[in-house]
Amino acid sequence: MSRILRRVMIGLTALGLADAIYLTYVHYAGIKPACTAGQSCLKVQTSAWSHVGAVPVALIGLIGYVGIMLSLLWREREEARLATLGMTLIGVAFSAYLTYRELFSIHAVCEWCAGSAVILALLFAGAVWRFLLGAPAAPAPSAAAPAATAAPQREPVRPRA
Amino acid sequence: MASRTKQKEEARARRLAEERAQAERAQRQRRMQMVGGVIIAAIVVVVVLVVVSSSGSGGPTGLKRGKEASSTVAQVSSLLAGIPQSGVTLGSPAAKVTVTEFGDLQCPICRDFALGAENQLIANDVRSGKVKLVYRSLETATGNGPDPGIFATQQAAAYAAGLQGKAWYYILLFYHEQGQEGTGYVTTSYLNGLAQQVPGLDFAKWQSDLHRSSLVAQVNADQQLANAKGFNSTPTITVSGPKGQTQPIVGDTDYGTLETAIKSVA
Repeated sequence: MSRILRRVMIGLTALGLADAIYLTYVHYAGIKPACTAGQSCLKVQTSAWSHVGAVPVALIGLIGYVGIMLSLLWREREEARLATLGMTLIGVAFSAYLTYRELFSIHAVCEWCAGSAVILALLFAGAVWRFLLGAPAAPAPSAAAPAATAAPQREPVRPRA
Repeated sequence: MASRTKQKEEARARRLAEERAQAERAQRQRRMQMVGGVIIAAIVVVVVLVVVSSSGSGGPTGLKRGKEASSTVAQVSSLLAGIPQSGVTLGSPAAKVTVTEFGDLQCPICRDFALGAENQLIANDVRSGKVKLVYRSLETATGNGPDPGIFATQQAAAYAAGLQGKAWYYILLFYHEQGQEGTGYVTTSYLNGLAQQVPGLDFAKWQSDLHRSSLVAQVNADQQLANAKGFNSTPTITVSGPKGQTQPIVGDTDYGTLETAIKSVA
């Protein structure tokens, strides 16, 4: 189950990565993003909230997805699952803030950004699930267990003087 | 003897069970600490991102600074470089077709149009000499803001740049760096900041020209012309050429519509 979940999460991260690469390209190329909702994407992409300091939000998203992908491709261990959980938590919280700004400050919704927000929400849910799945409880000790695990040992043979 | 051995085994089993339970408790505690640490770190990162995002240079005041401003100026310069400008007209005076934009520099839909279809129009038709683009003032968004009186000054600021053949630099930089509507972001400092970004503009001359009554009169004349034609929203685009004039195009139109209109009058 954990393996399937991990593959699904890698697929979602690849989609998010493609989305972020496109938006970063659009930003630096200075072109209009493809948008089915008229000029909404352009309005969001050129809004006051499209940057954090001098760094475009699209580039922050791209860096975030690369981090999530690396944590998913890292070998199965608790630290990797925890890293995925932490990064997706940051992603989902920040994209929730940006969605709030789109709805109540910019009054326009960019479908690329909304798509990324949905992907991050799914990734966060998957990361929580994977973290919980990845730490199964140890088997309950039974009375027979110690005897079974205690392999018969021989006394080492002492050399005779 | 057998009973003693059994007691020993039971005691050993209890000890092992106790050790295992302790190890599990320690592991659970470690996991909880790690999760707690990750949650706290995530909250700190998000708070920093939100604070910087809402108060940084890209805030609702609009005017860009540093590398961001350089990037915007480079973008506008690359679009306009080599295209003749005279007053509020961009393009060859011999161009057969004239596209006129009635706009308000604070209007977000005008900004969308400028960054979209108008950008393509300049890059293709104005640059090739087929079309010339004229800017006229029509108050819309600014009138709904906290300081409607700034309208004449902000539009005259672009016209003052036009006296040095740089009106379209000012107009496009204004649109690119437009602030949040209704926040009163257009101040003297904002207008001066934009002027300082216009490549090659003589800032002292621009400041002196800004107070010319002829520029405000030009803004008022544009407004009267728009009223006479029944225009009441921005952007309103008119396209005229040797074959006549099209119906005005209102709103953030697409490049295809402009092209069709241009072909019909060329």
